[in-house]
Amino acid sequence: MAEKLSVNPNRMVLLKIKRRLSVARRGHKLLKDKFDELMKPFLATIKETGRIREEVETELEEAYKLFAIARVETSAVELDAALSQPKVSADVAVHRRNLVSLTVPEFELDLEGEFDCYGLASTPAMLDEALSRMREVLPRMVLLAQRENTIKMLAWEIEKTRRRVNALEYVLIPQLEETVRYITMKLDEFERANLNRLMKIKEMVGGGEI
Amino acid sequence: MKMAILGDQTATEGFKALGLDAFAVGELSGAQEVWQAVDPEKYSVIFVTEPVYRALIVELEPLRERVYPVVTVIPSVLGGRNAGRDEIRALVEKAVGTDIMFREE
Repeated sequence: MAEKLSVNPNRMVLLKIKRRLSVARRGHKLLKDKFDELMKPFLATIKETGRIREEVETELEEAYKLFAIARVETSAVELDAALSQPKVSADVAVHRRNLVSLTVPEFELDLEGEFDCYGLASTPAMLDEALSRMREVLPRMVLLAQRENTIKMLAWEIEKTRRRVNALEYVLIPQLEETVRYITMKLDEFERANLNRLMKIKEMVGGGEI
Repeated sequence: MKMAILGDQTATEGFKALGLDAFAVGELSGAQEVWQAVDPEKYSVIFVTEPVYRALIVELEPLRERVYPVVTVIPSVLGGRNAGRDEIRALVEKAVGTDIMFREE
């Protein structure tokens, strides 16, 4: 059973505690609703993100393989020279999206220019293939980063909300209820004691007639 | 904002041609030094290959608390698909209290 708060048992305090209790119940309901509302996008996102990660990883590994072959087919110096002056600019625009009570960033990839900034004669064809694969997978990598970030932020918020819900549900609300019960019982007890006292006095004063 | 990639040569060189800022890590023991050269403020997303991620886990820790940059683990040439999953799984477990992400249906 929850500990009661240490308060003076009187009507004034009782009124205050009752008011606090109703606020706490209302807060609990609201937070619980928020928790449920956060869970929805969270569950939807993790399923999808798992799939995206799977795809990105497979595609990346294939691109790596091609790239590794390209590296073998050419000298390190030549490859380095070929890739040292990229013409592509990969910019990410960051938007903010409101998700329940959170502001989550959304990335928009802006790839500009062609990657073939090197002489075709000195580089193997495999390099083109590897780079075009990488270019294809890059937008999905950005999407993956965004989704995983959303999951991360949602997870923190869910945890925070859950803690609050639990604190209200299992600590504060039982405490307040217990205090209300305590004060009510005390007041009843005073009432009975008073009645008793009155009856006693009446008896002492004179056989029931005033 | 720009993106960066940290990892072995095969992973970084390709993406360098695609306009990302590439930071090649030769030996994993030198990962910290490479990380010193990275200015996280400049980037919105930093891709890190799994072995480097493991080597830099302490250094990357403060970034987890922040919104930017987003650190995303990708596999390296040698594979390695666990770190990224484990991270999300830990988050899911923390939030929901159970592992629901990779449970077989």
